[in-house]
Amino acid sequence: MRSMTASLVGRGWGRNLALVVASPYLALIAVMAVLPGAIAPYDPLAIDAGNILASPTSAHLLGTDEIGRDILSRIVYGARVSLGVALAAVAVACLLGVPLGVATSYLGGRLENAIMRAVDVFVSLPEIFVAIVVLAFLGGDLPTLVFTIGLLYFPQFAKVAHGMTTSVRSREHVLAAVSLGAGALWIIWREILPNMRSVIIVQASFTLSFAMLLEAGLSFLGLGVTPPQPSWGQMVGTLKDYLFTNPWPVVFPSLALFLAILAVNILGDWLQDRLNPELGG
Amino acid sequence: MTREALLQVRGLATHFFTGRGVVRAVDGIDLTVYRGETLALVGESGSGKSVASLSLLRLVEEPGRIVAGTVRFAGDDLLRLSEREMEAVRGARIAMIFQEPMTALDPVRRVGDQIAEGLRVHEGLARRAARARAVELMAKVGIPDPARRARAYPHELSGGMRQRVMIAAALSCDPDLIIADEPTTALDVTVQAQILSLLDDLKRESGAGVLLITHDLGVVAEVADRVAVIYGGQIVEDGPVGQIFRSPAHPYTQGLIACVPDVELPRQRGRALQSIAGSVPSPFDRPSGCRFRDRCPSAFARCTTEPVLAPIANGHSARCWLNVR
Repeated sequence: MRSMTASLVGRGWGRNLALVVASPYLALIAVMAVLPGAIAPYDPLAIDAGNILASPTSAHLLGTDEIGRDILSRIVYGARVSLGVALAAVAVACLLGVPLGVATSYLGGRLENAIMRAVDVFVSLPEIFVAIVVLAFLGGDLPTLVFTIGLLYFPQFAKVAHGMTTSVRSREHVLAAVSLGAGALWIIWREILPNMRSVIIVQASFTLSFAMLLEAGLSFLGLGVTPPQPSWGQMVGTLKDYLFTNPWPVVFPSLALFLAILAVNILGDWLQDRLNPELGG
Repeated sequence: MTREALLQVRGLATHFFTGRGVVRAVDGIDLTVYRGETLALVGESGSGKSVASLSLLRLVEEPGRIVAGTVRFAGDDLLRLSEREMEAVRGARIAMIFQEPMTALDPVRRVGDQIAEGLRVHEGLARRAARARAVELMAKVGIPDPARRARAYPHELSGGMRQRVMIAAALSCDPDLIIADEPTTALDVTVQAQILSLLDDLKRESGAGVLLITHDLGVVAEVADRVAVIYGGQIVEDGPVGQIFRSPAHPYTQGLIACVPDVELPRQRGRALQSIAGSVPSPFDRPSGCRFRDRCPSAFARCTTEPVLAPIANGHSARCWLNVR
């Protein structure tokens, strides 16, 4: 009871206010990604030849693009790619990285060192260049995009999981669990994973925003989703050429992306406070 | 009177192989714990008492290794069991209570689930049944409103309550032997007495043996039946609690007893608190012969050869030349 009031009053309204704005926005994006047809006013591929590069009007609330497609509808349909690719990539990164990190900590010795140094090499790779090379060779279909982004971000999860495992393993409560007869798998499942849960979730939320940005960047460069399927990055990439003709159309997909990343980060901060029982929540 | 030996440790040695050399933290100790009895293992920090207790459950971590000895428990030598067989002993037949209940409890899991852990590992109880047992155990160790407290996280409980939780977890599978490593050191004095009498009641009720690791002779006087004093990785004196306090035979034990301030006597003006000169020798650099000789007020020539643990009276022995005629 006391801790609940403390989290509402003591830590100020600022963060909660941000959350109050961020969470409906994320919910809206999620609905757009799942049921775009229910929200979009037009078919995202339908061309209104009378309105090309139009500013916002009552017919096209966010204007139209270079061949007269409704921008609002394309943003709504593009949410599925932006959010879906990023979520799937984070899942890939997490499912590869966490088991690797935990297992490596248990391996110990030279093998542990060798694996973690290899992971360090992965971390230091400039992700956008690696992604460009991979996608240039393999082509930019969605599964390739997801796995490329996932592979680029799994080392962070491996490092965090490895560090957490090594530190939690040496804690006395793990010794206490061993003294109660728990085996290694039980320890990993009941002691180590729960103790790294909040850290992994925060890592996942930051990685989610990085992955959204990377996907947008690749699509911006024409390496992500193939047209005419819309994605936010690809829309910005196409519309930037008409910036001086009419700046309006390029603003909205950029804004959608910017706000989505901001909202994901706000959610991540909130989750971090919320999931750590020692901070009260 | 025939007493059933529950745990018989013979010649146990645990050494740490460090970069600076070999540390003989536990250097050939013998201990016997009988059913329904509390043996106090008493020593200063660095005497090897905690390493000894961890060795019994084979919980010593690298670079430490058990290099010699036998630990007979209910017919088995624990040092010869496979790791899997050892897991079946830990928690189920020998349970351990740790010194610092804050760090020995997992901060991110509810205490009820942690008490239930042993039941789920050893008795395969389902989550719901194990939780119900956990609440019963919490009631048994005197935690008020156990159903609600079972859902609390460790940081939401006081130190005394957390130690009760640890005890409940240790008792969960009805162990035959409870190893309590400084169970009251982290607690307030008033809470200490409660925890000690709780341990004593539970021991009487279950007939389990207790190995109590402590540096606190006040605690020893209160609950122990027998005492083993450890110094420099060796047992230096061993005997029934009454005899140890009435007629301590080893100068180290005498020193330890003299260190305890006596609150029952009116304070005598000018009488300073007693202490033992010096400190526990570095395990890299122990004196030859008797390990206590450079701090001992009665050391003499013979102390340069190592004394053996020799019987003095019935069940009472000491490792000191003063007692050998």
